[in-house]
Amino acid sequence: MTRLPRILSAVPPLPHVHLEIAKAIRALTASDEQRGESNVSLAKAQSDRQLIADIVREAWRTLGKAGFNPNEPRAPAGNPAGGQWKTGGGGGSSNDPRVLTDATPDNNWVPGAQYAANGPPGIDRNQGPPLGEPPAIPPEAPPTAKAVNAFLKAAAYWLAGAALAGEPAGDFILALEAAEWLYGYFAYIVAYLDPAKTLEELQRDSIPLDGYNIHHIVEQTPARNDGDPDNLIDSPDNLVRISTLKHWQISTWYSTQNDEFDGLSPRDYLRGKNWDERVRVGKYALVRFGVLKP
Amino acid sequence: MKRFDVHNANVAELVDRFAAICVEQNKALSEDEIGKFNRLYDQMVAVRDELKSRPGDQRRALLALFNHPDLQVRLQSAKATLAVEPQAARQMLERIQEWQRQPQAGDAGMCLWNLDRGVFVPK
Repeated sequence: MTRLPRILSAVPPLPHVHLEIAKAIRALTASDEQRGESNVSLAKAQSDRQLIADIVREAWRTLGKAGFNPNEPRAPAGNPAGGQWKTGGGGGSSNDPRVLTDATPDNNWVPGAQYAANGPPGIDRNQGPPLGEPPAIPPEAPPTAKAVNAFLKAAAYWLAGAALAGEPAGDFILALEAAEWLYGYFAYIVAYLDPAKTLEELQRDSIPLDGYNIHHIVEQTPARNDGDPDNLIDSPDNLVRISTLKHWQISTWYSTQNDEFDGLSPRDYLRGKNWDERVRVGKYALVRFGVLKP
Repeated sequence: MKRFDVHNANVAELVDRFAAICVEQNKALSEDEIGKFNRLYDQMVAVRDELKSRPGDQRRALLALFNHPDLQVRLQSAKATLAVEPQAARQMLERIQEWQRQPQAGDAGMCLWNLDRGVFVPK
């Protein structure tokens, strides 16, 4: 874990204060040349992401000292389809109107408007479309597991996006800390902000931990259906511990139809393919979803 | 969504429809609605194929969506234009990958990889 700058110990122990001060220090110590640039380097973005993760983690630890037990309630070991939390009720129906939020920014695009097709994509040229406001935090635990999951994803995605875009995230972190129902879920948000690791690091972390899933690089059920032996599927080489939310992202990618496989889902494309091709796809997905170092 | 007749829509309406479907796809992704996403995917393909069938292959009109605020719209319009505007479409995919906003960045990265290794040959 990155240590917070020493100067931060002299300010109130509030996560959002630490975050904004740390960012201000970084801006002041940047060279004039760096300050004049609109580009936010990848290294800085990674650093901001680490900083946000550290501060959320610290807030979580503070809550633990205050008597909160981070091991309850527990989160699921399942996938997006199963995603069962022990609290908050069962998964809602696909048309459940109680879903509170999602990660999609407001669509303020005007249908039919003319846009320069080859021009720069909007005001956040280097970081993509504007990040938008952070998701609204429900004052109480959402009534369904699906709604809880949707909020956790929205919060984690927004924090990761804020780190990449250099957006101030302190107020949002403070608001997260104030939502008592979220205490049991902080680990999932923190884990999502983990930096990419080496394959050896991911394979070494084999002990189950809140916020993480043991992920099969080659998906286990399709591999079994294709006759691959259990000792290959469950071998340490095929198992990595990754953020639960990342695990869901990758599982969803495997499940959804895609142009690049002629309209098949990656899972269907891989049906009948050999083990080596499944490993290649599985490892590359870990890279591209920000879990495994290239 | 209301029923939409792709065959009687003009190009601008098809482009708007394509964008609206992709926005719904993004919501489906955030809510783990895999079945819904896949149904929306089929609707998106119907719109894309209709644009392709129009004189001059009107998939180029989807380039207008490269400035859309929703990353899923940018991602799908980039993939849909790879066959007709490969350079601009690839550049869009590369940008989405560089922005690292998931899950679209991951999808864009996988798409680029499959293009480069010949698994994905846009038609």
